[in-house]
Amino acid sequence: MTAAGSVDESALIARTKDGDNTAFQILLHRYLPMINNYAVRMLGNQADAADICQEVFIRFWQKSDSFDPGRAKLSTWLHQIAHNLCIDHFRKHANIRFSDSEAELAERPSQELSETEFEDELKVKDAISQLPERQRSALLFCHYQGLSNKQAAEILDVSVDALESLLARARKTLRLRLEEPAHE
Amino acid sequence: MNKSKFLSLAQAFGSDLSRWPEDQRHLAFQALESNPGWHEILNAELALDQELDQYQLNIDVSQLETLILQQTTGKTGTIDKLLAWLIPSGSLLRPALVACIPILVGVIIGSNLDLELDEPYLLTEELQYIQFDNTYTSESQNAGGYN
Repeated sequence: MTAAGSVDESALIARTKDGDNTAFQILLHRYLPMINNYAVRMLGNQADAADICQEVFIRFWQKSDSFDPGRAKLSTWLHQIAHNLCIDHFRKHANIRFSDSEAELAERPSQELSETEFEDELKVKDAISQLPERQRSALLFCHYQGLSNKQAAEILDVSVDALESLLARARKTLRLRLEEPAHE
Repeated sequence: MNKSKFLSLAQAFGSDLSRWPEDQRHLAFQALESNPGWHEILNAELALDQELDQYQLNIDVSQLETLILQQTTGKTGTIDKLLAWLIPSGSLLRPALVACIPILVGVIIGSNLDLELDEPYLLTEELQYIQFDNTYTSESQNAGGYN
């Protein structure tokens, strides 16, 4: 993010704190796709991800006063809320695994995948879904979400070294799972 | 940067140096220039990165955005603020405190009520107990005074 972009964002945050819905709308438009992608990859389906996103941004709107731009980036703060809500979701639905991956992928609009691409993507999705929650979050933050190692470590409340360990274990597990031949 | 550090970073962050920690990228580039053989370490991570990159999302969130905006528009009214304050997420302290308000109000009202309980209405037995209690208290104080 550029310095100008950063200043712009600070102003938008300040206006949101003052109850300016237009500023909130700009920030929502900027961050919703990112947070939604995290929640979808974390939970495995768009319906639950939508619930998480609504909760994240309604909290941001209602409790923007509690966000201190001097302490963290907005992207970190929003990811932190989304991450905590996803973990709460797992606790509440401990016996529910990912929803039907094929159905979810098939529902996705504007995406034309060949059968092989579809199967490959499904395999990656399933492999990620089987990772332990913290390893999954670490991988999503650093590989897909574009967060820095410090941001990811802050969200997961671990040291940077511990984050690297989580990432290395996640990648090792994924490599093994993706090398396995597909069933049937 | 030594080979061990380079290897551990590659195993954590993959083959794309742009995903590596910002403070390590320049050192990693320098290390690669000095040690061309280390490209093999990155190549070992490349296949996994390519597989992960296949899982891309292109979700239209415009409806979700509208839905969120509908829920946030006009949420700055006094009642909404009061409700947001009253029922915070994750803590039951405030609702519990607010639930105590009727009890406190009842205590205050009760203590200010003039029940007009004049002495003639009190039972003789009750008056005796009160007198006994006063005597007992004053005796206790006197006994304490000798010590």
